[in-house]
Amino acid sequence: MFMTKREFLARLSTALDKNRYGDKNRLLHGYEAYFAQKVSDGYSESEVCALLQVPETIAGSASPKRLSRAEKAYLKLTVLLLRALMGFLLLVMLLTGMLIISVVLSLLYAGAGFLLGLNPFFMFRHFAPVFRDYWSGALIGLSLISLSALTAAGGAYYLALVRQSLACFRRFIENLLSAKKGGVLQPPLSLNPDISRRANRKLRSACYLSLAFFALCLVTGYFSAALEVKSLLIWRAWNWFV
Amino acid sequence: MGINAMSLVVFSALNLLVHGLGRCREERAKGLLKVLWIVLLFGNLIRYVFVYPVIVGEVHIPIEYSTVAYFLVPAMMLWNKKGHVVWPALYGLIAGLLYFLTMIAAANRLYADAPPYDVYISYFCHGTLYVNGLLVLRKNRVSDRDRAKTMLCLLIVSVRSLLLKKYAIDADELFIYDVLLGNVIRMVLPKSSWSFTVPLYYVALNALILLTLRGFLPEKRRNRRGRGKKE
Repeated sequence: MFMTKREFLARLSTALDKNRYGDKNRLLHGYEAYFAQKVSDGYSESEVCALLQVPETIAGSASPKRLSRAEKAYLKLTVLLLRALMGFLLLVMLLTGMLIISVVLSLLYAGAGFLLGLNPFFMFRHFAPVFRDYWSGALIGLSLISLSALTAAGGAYYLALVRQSLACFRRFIENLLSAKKGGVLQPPLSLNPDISRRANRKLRSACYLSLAFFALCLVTGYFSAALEVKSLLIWRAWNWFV
Repeated sequence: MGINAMSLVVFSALNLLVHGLGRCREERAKGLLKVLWIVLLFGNLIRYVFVYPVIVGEVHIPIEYSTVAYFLVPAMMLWNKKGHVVWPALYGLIAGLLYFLTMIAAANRLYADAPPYDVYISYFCHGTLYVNGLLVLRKNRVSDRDRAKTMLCLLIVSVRSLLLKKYAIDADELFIYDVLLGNVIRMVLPKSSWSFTVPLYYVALNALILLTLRGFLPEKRRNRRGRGKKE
């Protein structure tokens, strides 16, 4: 059976009308795109038609089946669950990623601050030449350690957020199950982490303090180094990028 | 200049720590102070009895106002005898405050060549004295007797350091002799002016100490002043 694209689409359109298919245009548009793709690959229109099923068969399979109420409800529930699961997985992956990044960054900053800057006993002498003036380096090292504390505080918040999103999902599943069994529904949980007032205050203070110390140490370290080498471009005086 | 900036940062951090400890529970602050006293006392005992004589090979005698305070203040605090808590705290506070002010102003000239770990140990010791002083004086009133005891202690340490000068190692580098012998003036001003500037310096020094002590008025007088102002 040799057909052109136009003939195929016309028959399909008629068959869909007959079956009262709701989203006809979207389906036709999809087949048009398929034809275009195959033709650009080197197939002729009749060859593409041969690859496809007969338009009436396609229209028959695309027509909605009559579902019972229970089937409809089950389908809805499954779709809802799948969507929720996907969203939840994405959220947890994102938050866990942020948590891991913040922990790694925190350790990196602390290590770099200690090795490059403070290094009080010159234990790691080969790291030290980055800063030619010890005390300016120590201040910049302290600023890195403050940044590490700030990142750790961020990590603590992400941890609370991950735990809260897990609790949220658990509540959602429990509610779904109890709805099925006819049990009592519990109110949904907020996605904001459930941190006590005291812990929240402490976390906020830690953030403010570490941020203030980071800024203070960085500014004083930079300007004391600039005064030492008598230039604002300290990296040039210390031959950093040569 | 880096060491001066570092001293400023450490001094700011200590003031924040005092603010934080002042707000937290008294038992917790006391617990932390106790740990600090023990570390300060035993750490310095190890330093002066073992590290200097056995490892370094030099016998160091605590001569400076601060080095005397390293032993005197924690010992008196741990002894905790009524009437002997406020004046050591006041003495330690003066030692700590003067140290940090000197470091902020002139550390690049005085301590530029000191190894970093020495400076960190010194920050810890003076920081402990300063924090302890501020916290103790927050809770206790300073009486005239306490101020007199502090003055007497300063006088005894000064006389003792002058008597022990020939036994001191690197006496010319000790800050206490620069202060007591007026070397600060002798270094800065020409010899022709010493006849009147050195006595003037001693008068100013005594005035400074008295004014520092006057800063801590007895509680009763402070209350009376406060009330007077309100009325």
